[in-house]
Amino acid sequence: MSAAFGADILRWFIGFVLLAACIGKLRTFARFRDNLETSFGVAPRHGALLAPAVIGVELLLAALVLGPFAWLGMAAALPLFAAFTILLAWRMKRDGALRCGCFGEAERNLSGYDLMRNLLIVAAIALFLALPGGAGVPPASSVLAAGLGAILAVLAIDFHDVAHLLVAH
Amino acid sequence: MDADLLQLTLAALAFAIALNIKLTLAARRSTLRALAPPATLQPGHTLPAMRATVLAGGGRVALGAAGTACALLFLSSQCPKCRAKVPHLASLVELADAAGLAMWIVSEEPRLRLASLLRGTTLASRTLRLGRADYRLVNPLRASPAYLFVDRHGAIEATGLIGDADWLALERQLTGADGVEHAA
Repeated sequence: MSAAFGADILRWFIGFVLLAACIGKLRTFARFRDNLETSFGVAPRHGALLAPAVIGVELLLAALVLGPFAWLGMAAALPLFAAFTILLAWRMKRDGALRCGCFGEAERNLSGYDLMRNLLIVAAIALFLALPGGAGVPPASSVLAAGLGAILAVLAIDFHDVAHLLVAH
Repeated sequence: MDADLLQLTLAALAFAIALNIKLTLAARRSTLRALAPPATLQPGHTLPAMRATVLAGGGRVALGAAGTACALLFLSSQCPKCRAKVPHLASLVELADAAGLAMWIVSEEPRLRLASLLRGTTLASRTLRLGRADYRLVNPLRASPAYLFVDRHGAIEATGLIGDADWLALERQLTGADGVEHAA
């Protein structure tokens, strides 16, 4: 498998993850805004601005990653995901339990598996940035890369459930 | 077979696998939810922290926050008993306010249904709307007409149906201008 094809899979993977994060937050917008206050201590006045800002940034990054500026989008997504992960890890260590609603999940607290998922996403972005940029992949190969990226994205978004199933059986 | 066609076929298979994983996990979550008995809040439990929207005006209220004792009332527009109790509750809410007890009607129903239930009263300003998931946490059995008494530390003091012994004791204290310190 060529490096360009591997990079394209990672590009679709991160693009789908960012899109899913936007859609999930929009579907449960009020809950996400409230979680900013109850779990992260953001004042309601600031939360009303921060919640749409986070969604807007994720949407912009998804457009960049899936559009013609993939490297720029990935380079911007790396510190974003790294910062999210550090923030979540710090709040989990401090408060023990917190909710995020990062992908619209409603009825459970964040788990260690969610942090592991974020670390894998950060690693995938770093790997994309480390791979040599090529002339791109043919359209049919890119569609295949999108399919494989979709599988990775579904596994990443539901990583908590997948990991529980793997551990339990 | 043409290489492009092969890749497109594989892509279709990959998308189908992704969809299959997504649907399988969603079906598993639904099954687990259906099998798991709903965890009802009992005296001594802590009310989960959540924010609700006031029906009249759309202001936001923090539930589960320490500070003020409150009584959460669960009514349904589909329940004739609830409709019958609404006029009496309107006067009781005013007495509770005067006694320092925040009394809130809590519902997950659409605005129009709630407006129909509360028509002719001023209870819209004392009614909170919650999302479905949050409502499941405070009233998993969807009992109505029901109540939760929450003390000033956010702990559940009593739970039951409106009209039971604890509820009647609260009513007596409120209508008898007896203070609410012992009830809430």
